Amino acid sequence: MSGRKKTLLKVIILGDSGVGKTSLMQQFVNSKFSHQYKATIGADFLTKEITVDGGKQVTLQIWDTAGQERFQSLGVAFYRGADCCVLCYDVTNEKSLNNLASWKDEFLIQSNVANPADFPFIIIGNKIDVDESKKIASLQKKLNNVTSNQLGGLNYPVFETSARDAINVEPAFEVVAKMALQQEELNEAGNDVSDDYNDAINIHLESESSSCMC
Amino acid sequence: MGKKKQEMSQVYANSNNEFIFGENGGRGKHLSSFLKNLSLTGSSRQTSGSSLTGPGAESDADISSSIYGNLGYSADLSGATGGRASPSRDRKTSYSPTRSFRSVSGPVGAGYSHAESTERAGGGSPFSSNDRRSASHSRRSMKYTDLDDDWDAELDGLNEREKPQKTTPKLQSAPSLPPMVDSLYPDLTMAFSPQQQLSKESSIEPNNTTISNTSGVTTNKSDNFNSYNTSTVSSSKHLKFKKIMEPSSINIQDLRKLSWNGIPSELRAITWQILLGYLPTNKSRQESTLNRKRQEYLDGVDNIREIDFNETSSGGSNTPSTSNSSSQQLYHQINIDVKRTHPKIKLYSYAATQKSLRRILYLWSIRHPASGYVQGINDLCTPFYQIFLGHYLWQVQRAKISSASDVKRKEEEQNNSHLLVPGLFGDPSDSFEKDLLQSNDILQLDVMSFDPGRLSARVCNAIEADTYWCLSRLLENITDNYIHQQPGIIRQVNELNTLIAKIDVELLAHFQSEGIEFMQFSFRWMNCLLMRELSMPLITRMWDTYLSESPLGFNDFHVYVCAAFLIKFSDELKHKDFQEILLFLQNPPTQSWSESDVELMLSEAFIWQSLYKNATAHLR
Repeated sequence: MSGRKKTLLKVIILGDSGVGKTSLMQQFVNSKFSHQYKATIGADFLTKEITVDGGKQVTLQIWDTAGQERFQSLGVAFYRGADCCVLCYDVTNEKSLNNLASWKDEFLIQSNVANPADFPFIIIGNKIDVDESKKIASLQKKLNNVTSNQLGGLNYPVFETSARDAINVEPAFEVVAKMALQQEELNEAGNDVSDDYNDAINIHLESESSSCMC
Repeated sequence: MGKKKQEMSQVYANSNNEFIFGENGGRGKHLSSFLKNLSLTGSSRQTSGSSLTGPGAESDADISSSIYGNLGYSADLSGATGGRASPSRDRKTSYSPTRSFRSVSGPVGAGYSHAESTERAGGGSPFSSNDRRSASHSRRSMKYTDLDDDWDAELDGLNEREKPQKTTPKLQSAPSLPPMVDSLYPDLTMAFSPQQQLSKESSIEPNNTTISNTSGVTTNKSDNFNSYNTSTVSSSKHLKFKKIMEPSSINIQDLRKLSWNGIPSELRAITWQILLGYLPTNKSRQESTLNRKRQEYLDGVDNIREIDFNETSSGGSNTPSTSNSSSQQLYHQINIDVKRTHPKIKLYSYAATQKSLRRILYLWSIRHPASGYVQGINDLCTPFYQIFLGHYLWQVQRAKISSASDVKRKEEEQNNSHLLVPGLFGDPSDSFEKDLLQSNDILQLDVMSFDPGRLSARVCNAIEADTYWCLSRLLENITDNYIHQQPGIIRQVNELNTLIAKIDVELLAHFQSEGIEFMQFSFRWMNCLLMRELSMPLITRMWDTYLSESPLGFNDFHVYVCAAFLIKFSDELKHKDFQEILLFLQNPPTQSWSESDVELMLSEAFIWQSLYKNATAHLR
């Protein structure tokens, strides 16, 4: 197995401006936090090699995108071939939570993924280190509302993180890697299968089992 | 044959139009505002006088000369080439109400475009060193016919360009030269040398501790100013600028040409403002224009009722009512971006700076709803802000030094006051300014770490207003970079791709085999005009050239600069894989770059532009 070429997993980070996407990525990739990040323009590229369960070495290629809507039109150049998409919001900013669905839709339109309904998304609510009083009131209820109504009721994994205090960042991205890997294998299997038998049922079963695990 | 002629004339007319709208489009607007000014200042007689036909030519010339300074340049040219009789012009004179304005820009534009095209082909503009300027009028018409000559001319230009750099050290005569080379007052620079400083201080205030303090910090200061005022700036360059600035109305073409090779730092503020068409070339109108524009800006800001510019809590304004209003959203975006603008430069961490930037950006955004605020525009306004603020500080420092100097120097300063941006320094009722003048650290202040909170509202507002208007002028030429879907940037990225295909096929092939798309790395180069890739001093140097190439410097020329930038790293990039390429280009090693690196890049860009710009024209 180790003789096989390295697995590259492409991950896209989306979310409103200022929710802390760049901070999350820096915390995950470089284990550091700074107040000195400039606004991301277009998208930044980062990589990190990690080991997912089963001891498999993977390389995450992460596109940390700009949050301003104006830049959405160039998503095509960055989203294509993605294996997992991280939707970020800020636990102190309700609008960023409400925008998750539109980020998801935009991603699906521009990335042109094969099976939109099965594509792995993960939700990260950042800045849990801030004072409780600043957080969105009855966050859990609103979050459930968003995931069940706007995000199609699919059970996407949700993590609450603090990029500043490095809380939950690592675990969140372990799940990202796992989901991306499954998606990647699914794509490969899908490609093989469709080449040979065009067996759609097989794909569906695999994807179902994967979502149960999460 | 007759038909062909017609076609030709159409081509001619088209290209001419292109120049009018392309090269002089911005100035057309200035013209209109000029006409407006004229009527405001009560000399509208001229405007109506320009109502055309035969003698109209003279009044056109009058107007244009009062706008652009003496357009001796184009006037000469039209004289030489019979420009007045040029068909395009005649055609225009027979037109419509807007004619008065067109016919003015007509000859100017035509003259400029002729000169421009020969220069483009010949590589004259950037390199044509000023020594050659006097001869250039006659040469220009000759160059027209012989392209090979142009190449020679370009090489000459290159050689000539090398020379001043080599001779610079000799001119400056030693490393012990005062850190602040001052074109206006060559002898004033002496005040900055530590010894002089010491003796001066001691004569004023015979306090030992002050003296040692001062001399200690003076050394620091010399570092600041060395980096600010780079070694390539020779005193002869200062003198050339001074000469151009001298007449009551400035020849903008000469100023452009001279600026291409870099502007002395203390003249940068005023030169930028003139090149952008913000500050009139006609000296008698400079102060009144700035007063009016500054007031206009203030009125604009005062009319904004929905926003409290002191509000900086960026967090999610949680109440849905506020977060939903579009003005609040706009302000929120600007607010969080201003906080993270140049986080490593201390100047931008001060509340006063951030408030100024918020006001500038917010007003610009609501005045330009088609694009609105786009991330990256916050970066673009900082060079203006910083240069203008630095210019004010420098004026205060100058005054401080001269207050301790003799009468003769004071007189000289009076004579040179026209080289300063008007209306900033010298309000006797400004107590902040007085405090600043009397503060112990005034001579050590560096704009990069200065707190604008120490300035009066009057000065802050003026600097803000100047920044606002200059930013507006800059963005005028790259509007489609920031409108919906950013078509300007997409076009530029594609142009960069096409250009690399011509210049460095191997690199392009390598990118393709690695799956690199130009959009992935060069989007930011276009959106922020390389401001994320190069340090602030290098950017200001680059803008000298961009502004001298206005209005297309930030647009077309920038793509060539990006090509030169990319190709600088070509050899390294060819040995990298997908990941390495992207990581490299995201953080290109420019930390050690000096101005000469940037200047080389600009020169390469210029050569490529002269080679390829016209080469693609037939494809369009």
